[in-house]
Amino acid sequence: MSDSFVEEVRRWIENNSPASPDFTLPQSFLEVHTQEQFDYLRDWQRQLYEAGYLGFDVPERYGGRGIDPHKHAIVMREIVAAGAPFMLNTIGLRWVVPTILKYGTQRQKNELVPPILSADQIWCQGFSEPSAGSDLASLSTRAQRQADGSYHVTGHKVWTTIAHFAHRMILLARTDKEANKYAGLSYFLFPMGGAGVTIEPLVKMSGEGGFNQVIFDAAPMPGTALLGNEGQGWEIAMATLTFERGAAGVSGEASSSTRAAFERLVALAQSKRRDGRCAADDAVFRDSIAALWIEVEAAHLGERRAAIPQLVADRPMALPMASKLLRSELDQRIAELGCMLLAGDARLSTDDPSAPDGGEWPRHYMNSFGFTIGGGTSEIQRNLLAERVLGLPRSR
Amino acid sequence: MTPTLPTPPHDFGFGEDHQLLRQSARRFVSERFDAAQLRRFVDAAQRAEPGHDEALQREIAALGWTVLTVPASAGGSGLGWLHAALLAEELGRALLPLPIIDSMLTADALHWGDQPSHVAAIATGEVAGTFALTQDHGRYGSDAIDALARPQGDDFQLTGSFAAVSSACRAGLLLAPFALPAGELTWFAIPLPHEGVGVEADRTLDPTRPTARVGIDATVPAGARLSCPGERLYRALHMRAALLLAAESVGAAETALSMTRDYACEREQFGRPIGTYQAVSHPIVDTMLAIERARSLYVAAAAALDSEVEADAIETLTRMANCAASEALWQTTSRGVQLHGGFGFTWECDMHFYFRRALYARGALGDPHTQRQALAAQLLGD
Repeated sequence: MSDSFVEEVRRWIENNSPASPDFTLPQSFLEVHTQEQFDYLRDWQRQLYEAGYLGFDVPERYGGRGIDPHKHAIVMREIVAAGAPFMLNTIGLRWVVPTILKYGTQRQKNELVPPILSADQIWCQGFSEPSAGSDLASLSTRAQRQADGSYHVTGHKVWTTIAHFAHRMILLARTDKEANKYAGLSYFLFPMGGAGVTIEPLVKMSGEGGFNQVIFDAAPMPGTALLGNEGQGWEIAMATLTFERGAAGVSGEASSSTRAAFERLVALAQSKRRDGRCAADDAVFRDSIAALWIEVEAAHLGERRAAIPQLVADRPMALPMASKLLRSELDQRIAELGCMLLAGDARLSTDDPSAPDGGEWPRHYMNSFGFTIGGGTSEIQRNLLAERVLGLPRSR
Repeated sequence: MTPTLPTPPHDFGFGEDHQLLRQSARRFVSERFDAAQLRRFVDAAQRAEPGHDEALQREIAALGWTVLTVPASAGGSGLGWLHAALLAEELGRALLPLPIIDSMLTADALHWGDQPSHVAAIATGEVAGTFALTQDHGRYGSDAIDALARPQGDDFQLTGSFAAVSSACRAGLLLAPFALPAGELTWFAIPLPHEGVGVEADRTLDPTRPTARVGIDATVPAGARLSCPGERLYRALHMRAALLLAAESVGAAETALSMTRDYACEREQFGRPIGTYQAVSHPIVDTMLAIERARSLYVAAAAALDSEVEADAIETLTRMANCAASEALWQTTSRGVQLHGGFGFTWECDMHFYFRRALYARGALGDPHTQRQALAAQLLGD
């Protein structure tokens, strides 16, 4: 059954994935910047959804295809394997949908989940603030309840991916100034596009867009935007971050893009000439590449092993909780080695026609920091693993 | 294009019987060889007294572990390589200083080479078995063997010397590879002690893993020759030994990690446990992740061996597992000594037992650098 499904998906992607556009595509959902990029990617997600291949992690009554983790993993893997574009609405699909399914009211599930799958409603995440990055719970954006049960939001969110295209935001805001920093937080499903909201683009270190800051000035928000209860915001935000970090990840999904990047690295080493000989003949590069190969395979096998309770019995949460940390750091080292192989050519931007591989290596390397910082920095991930998995005392 | 490695069966072939073996091994080892016994053993070895326990070897043999992979029809336990690897991890946790794994691998080869009486002797624990793989320590490969076997009537005249033979001082049976005059590699089972066979113990840093140089100028009967193809046995034995060493190293690293973790919780400086400092906690997390990576690889390599996939793929996974496990043990124990501070630098702290094992494991059966060279050759060509 599953093998024929793999074939079916592979064939469908081959016949239906969009042709390369005549503009530069972003490397991930974090860098979607222009309207043409947005339209192209939105059409692709919609097409995949309408063909019946998106939503194997969502019950049918909310527009999904019924829960089938195996099929979900196959689709996600095959998209990467075919080099087809990523999902525009990744924040909606991967972070928001499971959060709403877990904490939402019937009405919220009915109204909000289907348009996420179909890419009709794009979501962004309003957690970080200029003074609340790793110390997220110290955030100061206020949501003040009004007499009619609605709220007014005032504050400043930052590093907000895709806010300039988003229809909704998952918003973490303070509803109770008196309570302690965790208990005073609430979680909202904020409709964008109303009054009192200013979106200002931020330019990334790579020179690319897709990043924003969002300023709220007594922005009105309906009472129905509240997810869960007032004061439950921290708990729900932690659940979202768990989804974001892939701790509930689907077997084999995450490692397939890492493996694809590694294969490009091998191809680069075999084609790049340094000092008149092939880079793949250099003993130091050979050793580094073999070391990365071991880690790429270990990451892949680790995802497989984590799905078998008896094979992770002594420490069941280690691999799931380390998923984002391991993947983002490994991806970064692959990109870094790519730049090292390029040596002088790593100075060339994507605009330079002579840049090897279209300048993707230094771009990939720069963008890799988005993943070692976003969603909780690698340092925070190590704190969490130390405390939650190894039972070490809380760091200060 | 990256070679496609075998995808292990969905559950890595892990079943109820693996679970039971692991549980009983963990219980047995923790009851019969705890940290205090390890210390007594090492202290005795330091005074050059024999500290090993013949009774324990027999007791373990009675559990079937020394003939774990020999089919039940041939007097073995009839289990697979994932069983063997999981057991090796448990033995590694305690640094159990008995040639259980050496015996297990020797018995497996003897069965393949049609030597049932030797298998039976190892099964009872009466005899411990071991094997030679290198003549010049650090060079592994059947092409590096220049020990010779010359037919002499019904006998063979064997000459050659072997390095770093594990537990040779204790073993009652040695397997060693020799080249026949026509160049073909073949193996002989040599009972120890034996006329014309000199066993000279190395003075090793890790007393739980003694090695010796074995010089051979001896005559053995033709019946001592193993019937299986020599090249294939060489490769299989090398890779299986590298796999079980990886699993053992993961076990040893696991104990070292838990010692460091406990110390970071207990030891207080500046009025709080040192584990609250990220300079201490983050390296501990990194060693845990290194251990988990090595475990994923050894479990997959063992599962591949059990599902009899193609030899090259098994070799790739085994080299990866061996490399990752030696590196993980090295990292865990070197950080372990450092994070135990002044105490870690003393004989009194158990960490150096594991550090010594790391020095041994890194060099045995191909060091990480050599493993990566072999992997690079496979990935990028020679």
